[in-house]
Amino acid sequence: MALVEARGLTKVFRRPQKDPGLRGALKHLVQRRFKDFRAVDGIDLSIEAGEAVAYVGPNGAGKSTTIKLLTGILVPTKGTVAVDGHQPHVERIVNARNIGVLFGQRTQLWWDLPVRESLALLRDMYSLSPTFYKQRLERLDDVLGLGELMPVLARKLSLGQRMRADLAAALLHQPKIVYLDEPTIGLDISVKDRVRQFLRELRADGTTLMLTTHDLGDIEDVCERIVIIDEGRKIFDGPLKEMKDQFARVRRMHLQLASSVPLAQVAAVLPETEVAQGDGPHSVTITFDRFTHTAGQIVSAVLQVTEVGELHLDEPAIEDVVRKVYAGELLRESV
Amino acid sequence: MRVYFRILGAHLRSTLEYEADFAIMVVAGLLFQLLNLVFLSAIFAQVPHINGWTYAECVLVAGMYGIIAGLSPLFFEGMWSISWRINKGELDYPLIRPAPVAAQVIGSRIGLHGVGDLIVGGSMAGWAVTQVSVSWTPLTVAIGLLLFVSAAAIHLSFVTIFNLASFWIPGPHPFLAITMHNIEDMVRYPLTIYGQGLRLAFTVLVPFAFVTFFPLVWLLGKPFAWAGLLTPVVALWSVWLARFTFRRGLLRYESSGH
Ligand SMILES: Nc1ncnc2c1ncn2[C@@H]1O[C@H](COP(=O)(O)OP(=O)(O)OP(=O)(O)O)[C@@H](O)[C@H]1O
Ligand SMILES: [Mg+2]
Repeated sequence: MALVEARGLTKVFRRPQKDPGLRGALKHLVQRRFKDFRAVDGIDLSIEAGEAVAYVGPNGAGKSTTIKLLTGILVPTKGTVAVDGHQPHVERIVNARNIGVLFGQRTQLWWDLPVRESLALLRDMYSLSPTFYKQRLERLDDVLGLGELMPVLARKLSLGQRMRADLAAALLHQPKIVYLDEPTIGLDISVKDRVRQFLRELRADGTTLMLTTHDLGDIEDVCERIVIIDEGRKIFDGPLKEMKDQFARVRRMHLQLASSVPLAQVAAVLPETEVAQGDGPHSVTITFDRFTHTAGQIVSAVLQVTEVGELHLDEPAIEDVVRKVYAGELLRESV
Repeated sequence: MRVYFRILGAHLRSTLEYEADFAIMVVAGLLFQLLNLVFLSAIFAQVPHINGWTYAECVLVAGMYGIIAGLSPLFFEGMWSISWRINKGELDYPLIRPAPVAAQVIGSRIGLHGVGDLIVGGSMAGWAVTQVSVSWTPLTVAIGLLLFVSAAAIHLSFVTIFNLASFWIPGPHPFLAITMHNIEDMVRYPLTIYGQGLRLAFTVLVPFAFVTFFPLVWLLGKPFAWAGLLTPVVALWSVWLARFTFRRGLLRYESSGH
């Protein structure tokens, strides 16, 4: 069985229906009206031990809500969750030892205490042995640079420092699976790189990861699987590479031509593509639609005009793909 | 329990760093209690006893309530944070840690103003105990202590239950709990001074009568002394109800939108 198994996971929030203003509020007191809102709608998900899953979707798609359901913070309206065989909201404490959770928007450090004290409190809650604790801190210090943060009160940390301390807090007990909800939100490039580096190391240690983010750079070299959701429903689940192959429709090919040929001549043999001057003197960049042309067709068409030296096909940018998904174009293209 | 004391200890250290705050809070607690004592003395300057309760006995009631009301902020202040926690989704992290949510919430604050209540309440009770006619035996002391602990448990359980109402009545302030806390203040005086309806409500509906009145009725050998011995039973029921409410509340917890 997979480490995380969710079947038909659904969360319905009841939203009060209020008219605006004080009158509306008073009216609501007397005559309460609610509307059901499905934040998560029948999600099936299995995550094997050691996998790293990127969980993406536009704002309000239901990512955070899914994580809260998987961690046992929320009780599902329908459907089941099992993490390592335990139902998170029922066997809360057993489950808590298996998981590490970070909500990038919010800290779990105690506001008025130095970081050191917060970590010590967590040590006690997880009943970590002094040697294990020391060893863990050293390890986390290496990658996150905790040392300088230890004596600082949580409320005095900068956002980047706070995120580093929070990562340490979430990983102190060496959880089997780690859920990270926007771990790089608001961070500058250097801290972001540091966090990503940390995630890669976590991966290498064999920790199972589930990561939500709006910065797709986070997932490119950390996750090999991507799950895309929108309006509470899963719309893609598979290897990152497959998603790109399947859905990145626009491809870009860079060619180093043997001789100097006018662009128009190349364009003439390649209808329905975009031919542009490349970086070098003899290079061209051809942008084409993968569904109307294959790379082979492009090359053989160019060969009719001139010899080709170097050839390079751009990897489809994950941003482009996901942007389309968000815009609702993905499903139509895939059929 | 261990977790609770660790969190509380850490917060005590951090709270004590604000020394001026600490002093002001203690003084505020002291003044409030003293004011009550002045009020009580003023009444007894006019009459020798109220419904069969002498001055010393009344001081004992007020003192006992002072002690309980002082211990409550010292050890239980965090419970008052539950409504904003629910409102802001601040129970997310406590829910993913392997320790009771209640312990984490209760330990998260320490109300040092309790020290003032405790000092005055303790002195009042201490003085009153030497004035009232009770024949002290080891058994009286043992039962007395049991009743005191039970009374405190009832008080804390109901602080909890009314604060937990925020799971059902959304909003950032614990209005119900504050109201009930003010109402509970009435047990500062012997219950006999109130009308029958109120006495009944305080006994059956919300058993505030067991926080001071009935345990002391037993100790002082007043009519219905036996009712005081029900205090531990009522305490068990209250604690059970608080735990049950907490469980049910957490199932309703909705976190926040981000
Ligand atoms: N506690 C709640 N009560 C009512 N509605 C909620 C609650 N939490 C979330 N929602 C609603 O559920 C939907 C999904 O929210 P969620 O936070 O899961 O989105 P998300 O995918 O994490 O978005 P973002 O990228 O903006 O963080 C939103 O429309 C939100 O308004
Ligand atoms: Mg979110």
